[in-house]
Amino acid sequence: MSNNRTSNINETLPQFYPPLYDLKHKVGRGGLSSATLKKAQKVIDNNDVDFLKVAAPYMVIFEEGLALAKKNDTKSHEELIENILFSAMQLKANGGLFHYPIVTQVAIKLLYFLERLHTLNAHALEVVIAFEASIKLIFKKQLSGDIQKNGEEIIRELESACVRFFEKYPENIHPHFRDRENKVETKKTK
Amino acid sequence: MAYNFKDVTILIVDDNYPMLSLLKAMLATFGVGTIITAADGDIAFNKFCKYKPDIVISDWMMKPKDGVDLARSIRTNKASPNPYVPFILMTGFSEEHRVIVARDVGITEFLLKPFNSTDLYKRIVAIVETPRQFVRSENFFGPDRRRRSADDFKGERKRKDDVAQPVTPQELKDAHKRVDAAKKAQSVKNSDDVVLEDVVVHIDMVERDNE
Repeated sequence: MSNNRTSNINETLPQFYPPLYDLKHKVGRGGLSSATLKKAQKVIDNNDVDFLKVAAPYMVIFEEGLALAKKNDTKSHEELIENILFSAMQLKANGGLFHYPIVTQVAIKLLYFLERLHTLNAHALEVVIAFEASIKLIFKKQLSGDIQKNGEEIIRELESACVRFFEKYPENIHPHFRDRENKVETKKTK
Repeated sequence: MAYNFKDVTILIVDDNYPMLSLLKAMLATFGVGTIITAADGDIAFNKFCKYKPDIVISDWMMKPKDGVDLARSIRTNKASPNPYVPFILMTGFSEEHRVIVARDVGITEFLLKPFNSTDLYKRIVAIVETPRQFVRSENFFGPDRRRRSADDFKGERKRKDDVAQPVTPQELKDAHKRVDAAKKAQSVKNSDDVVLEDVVVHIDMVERDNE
């Protein structure tokens, strides 16, 4: 069906295909009611999935990644943080869906730290270890549901650790981010 | 009157079973008639060829074949029954450089995890109400990576025509002339392609506006 669409320009140049409205014809108009959306939201809110079980394999990968980073200095930064980054992303993605929004918030800070990091040196590892310890503590104390005061404190402390690290080692910000932030700064000054 | 998804088939792909179940239950609540599931990109591509779904919703990080590879197969594999299918990529990554990677293989929409029912619904509405034109160039095939700005957009604009506003017949005529001249000159290469692409998109948008 869609393969029969014709281009509006000859083949030596970029070709453009007008959008299809097949789906629109199938589903009609009017959207979904707020009642339906609320019902769908309840599917998330009332799910009884045990997040600790969901998170367990990611924590194993996290720990393996950390162990590798602690003893290995021959691999590239990307290789060393790959497992940690993957686990952080999964914890961030799943925590909030399975009643652990605090894990999502902590993992967001960890992702932010890892993405900006240029080299996973000993000092950076200490920060990552602090994240690991915090997540383990959250699981041990089963801090599910809305983020409470002690949860907010954990997040704040971890964020401060990241800020302190990059203030102390500005050369360890990945050049990609340094360039981007410089551009933003220049724009603001203008 | 409301959307009726009874005749719609959606393929959802995730290697995390609880996540897959959750998404399936949410789509069922939306009234989706047929929901097909797959646990990785390879299985998903086979099911895609078999069931020809109307929408694909896939996680990014899966082994052995991830969501980006799946999108690439759907867009470019000769066996793909519908390379134009809307593709929603779910991911926990939000950094710009990662999003660009996915965008460049032809993702239609991103769904950032964790999400709620409204986030999911908004992506589906975008696909239904504002399907995007497709572009085939030397290095890319997929939905146009430049979106048309909404009329109420208040931010900075890159070009004068970066807004959905009426274009005069003279402007349309001029744009056609510029394309013809470029084609005749046969010198449209590398960086010039970008300029020409802009002109062609412009004409395409204008013609659709005028219809």
